[in-house]
Amino acid sequence: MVVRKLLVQMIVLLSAVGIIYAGGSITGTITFEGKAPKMKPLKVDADPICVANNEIAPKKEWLILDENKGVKNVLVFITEGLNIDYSPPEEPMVIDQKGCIYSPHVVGIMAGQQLDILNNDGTLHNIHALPKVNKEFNKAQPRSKKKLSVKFEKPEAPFKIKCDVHPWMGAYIGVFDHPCFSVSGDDGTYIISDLKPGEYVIEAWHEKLGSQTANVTVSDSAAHQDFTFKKPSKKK
Amino acid sequence: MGKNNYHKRTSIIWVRRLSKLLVLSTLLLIFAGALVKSHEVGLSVPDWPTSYGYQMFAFPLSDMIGGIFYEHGHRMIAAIVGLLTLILAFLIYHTDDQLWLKKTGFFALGLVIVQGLFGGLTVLLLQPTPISVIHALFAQTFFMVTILIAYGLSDERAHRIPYDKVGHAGLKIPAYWVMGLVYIQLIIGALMRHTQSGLAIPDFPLAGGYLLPPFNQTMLNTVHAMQFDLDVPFASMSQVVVHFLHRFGGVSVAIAVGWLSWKIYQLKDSDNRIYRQTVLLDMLLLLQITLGAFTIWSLKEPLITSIHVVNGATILGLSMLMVLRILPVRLQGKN
Repeated sequence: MVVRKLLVQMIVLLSAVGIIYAGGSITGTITFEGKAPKMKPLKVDADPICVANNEIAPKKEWLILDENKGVKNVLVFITEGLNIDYSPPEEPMVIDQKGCIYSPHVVGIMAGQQLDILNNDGTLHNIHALPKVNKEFNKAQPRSKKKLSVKFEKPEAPFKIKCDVHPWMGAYIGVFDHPCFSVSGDDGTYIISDLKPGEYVIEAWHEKLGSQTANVTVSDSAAHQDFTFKKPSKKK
Repeated sequence: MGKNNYHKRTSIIWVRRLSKLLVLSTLLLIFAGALVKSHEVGLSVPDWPTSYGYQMFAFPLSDMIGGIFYEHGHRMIAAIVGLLTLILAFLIYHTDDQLWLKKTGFFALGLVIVQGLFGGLTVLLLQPTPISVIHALFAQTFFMVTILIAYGLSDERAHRIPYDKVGHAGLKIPAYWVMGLVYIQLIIGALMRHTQSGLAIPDFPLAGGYLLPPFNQTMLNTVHAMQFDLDVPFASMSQVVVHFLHRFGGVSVAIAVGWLSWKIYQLKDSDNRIYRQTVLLDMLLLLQITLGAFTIWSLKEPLITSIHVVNGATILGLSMLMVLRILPVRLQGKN
């Protein structure tokens, strides 16, 4: 967490003194404003293996904040301004199932990129993806099937995948036609790098708090764009 | 001759018992289905008619974990209900003289087969809302048919005098209203559950902080703020409307049941069975309203929610039985 924050600060600093020329980037921090609810523990006792595979009782993950209210697991991505055709990378994106929890909780992948879903739980899972643009599927992943590989061929806004055997399990996947996306870390910071100078529209998406967009100008140095999500307020 | 009569009487008694067992099994099946939905595990077994490649009753018990326990359990109970319906239809065909009842027996068999196919389609098509709602609706309809069969076979009906109890004529309209409104309320309930609208209004007895909700953006903001604090998903306005319709339906049913009860309690020569049934109906209605409130206050605790569903089905069954008891015995006879 500290390393990531230092890295962001270094990039900002270095680009400010003109040392980095390789490509522009957008950095920033996602913060939460308002009183945040405490994340409740997940009830994983429907499957004894899930209990056994967790040393500490896992908690819900829909709003994870650090001490400065930096929000983890916000997917930040470019929506406009990229005029390059990108090919999906060879290496797959990986989501693991361990302790009947998806890790990571939010991921971005490129359309056509392989997604490997691992089963390190030694129990039976099903992978139920709920995209709207790509094809929805529900596949069994018995304990013997350690890896299940899928691809999403079309770009799509973040959607949920879940396990119906263990209904508390949920993760989110955003599919893009470019690699210019990032998921905020423990301290709420993100970096989108390798951007050409230009005008961009970026979006920050949170699974519960919705989306925000911003116009960002990238020059040779790093551009900065923070986002603040607020708790919904009553009767306004 | 005497021996033949004895055999016939014995078989009639067993067919009656079977019909009552089917009614109770169907109620159990509705409860099992409600548990599946309440736990949101309808797709925990991705294949159908097999379960993870196993035949229905060959699935290892050790793998009945998490949502599979509810989904596969629901399938097994459904198979037993299907089998009971099959046996009952053929027993009625061979032992009963009433043509309408024979036809109803096979209608129930057809209905349970179609219902099973809808259950399978729900799994294979990944729970499209219309099919899931129809599946829930057919469950209630099938339950009504099992009550019709059980009543048709019953000793009570066999001993009813055609066009007895003229005093019941005034009860027909309210009884129809109760049954119709409960059925509509269960359709809305199914729609609410299968559009994830069960907590679209997360407070009770108020609705989004209002006594009379205005259904505007201010209300939706308030609802979202409540949902955020309660850790439940945000609802859209259409979900809020569906949820409110279910509450409105509950009030309508309560008024109709009150009307029917008032009529029955006023009758001095009311049939004792009808009187007792009305008391039971009133008690179940009070229980249902309480369960509805606790469903919200407990944030849809699966067991409470499922009891709310099965109690709703029981109210439908009782209102159906009320209509059958109030109606003149026009179905009596051998044709």
